[in-house]
Amino acid sequence: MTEKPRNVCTCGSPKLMVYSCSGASNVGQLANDIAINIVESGRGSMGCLVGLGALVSTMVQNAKAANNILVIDGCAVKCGRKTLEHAGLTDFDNVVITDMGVKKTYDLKGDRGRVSDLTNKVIAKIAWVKPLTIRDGSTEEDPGCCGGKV
Amino acid sequence: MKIEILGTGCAKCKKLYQVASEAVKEMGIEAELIKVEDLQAMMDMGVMITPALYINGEAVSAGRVPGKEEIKRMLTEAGKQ
Repeated sequence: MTEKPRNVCTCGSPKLMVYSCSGASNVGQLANDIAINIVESGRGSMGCLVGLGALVSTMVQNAKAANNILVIDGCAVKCGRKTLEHAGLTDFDNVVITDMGVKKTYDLKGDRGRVSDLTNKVIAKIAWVKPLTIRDGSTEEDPGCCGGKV
Repeated sequence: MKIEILGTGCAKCKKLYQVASEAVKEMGIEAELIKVEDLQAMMDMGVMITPALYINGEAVSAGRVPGKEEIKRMLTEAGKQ
């Protein structure tokens, strides 16, 4: 018998879906690390930005089902933002790492020591996640049909 | 037409199966309704939120139970493609 994976409740809607540009620069890779930190802090789930860019129907529906969406872009080109718009999504928040005092370079491992600090800055910008603001105006969290037990 | 309802067997998933079944019956179309309850299969398809509804291999909704009329519209649209 296969053991049921834990913490994999997929019923209901995620509070927050996070997308990062994960681009080919220090800030792109920082965006990815920050997104992972946000997920690991329990604030949301990470979605596949490239899947949205490819208009993969599953990825688009995942995004549409989220109560809130955060897009973390590395630089002012804002590929993440443009990708969501390309997929027909307009209701999301967008933060840009270079706006937080990080200079863009092509050193993919650059500025790694700033991940924690930048994560806190991004989380501070999305403090509205608590209490949850659901788009239909309700403030009740959707625990899913498992009642949030999984 | 191939209709897949993805979910781990929860109440919403069962409701979606029921509504989709009714929509198919009322439209009088030939369709194969498939329940996908295996979590790994769902993950392999990229599903993050259930219940998810697929028509002919394309995701058309996730995280909610569309109404019967909406599902009928989805089926009609899929039938045109």
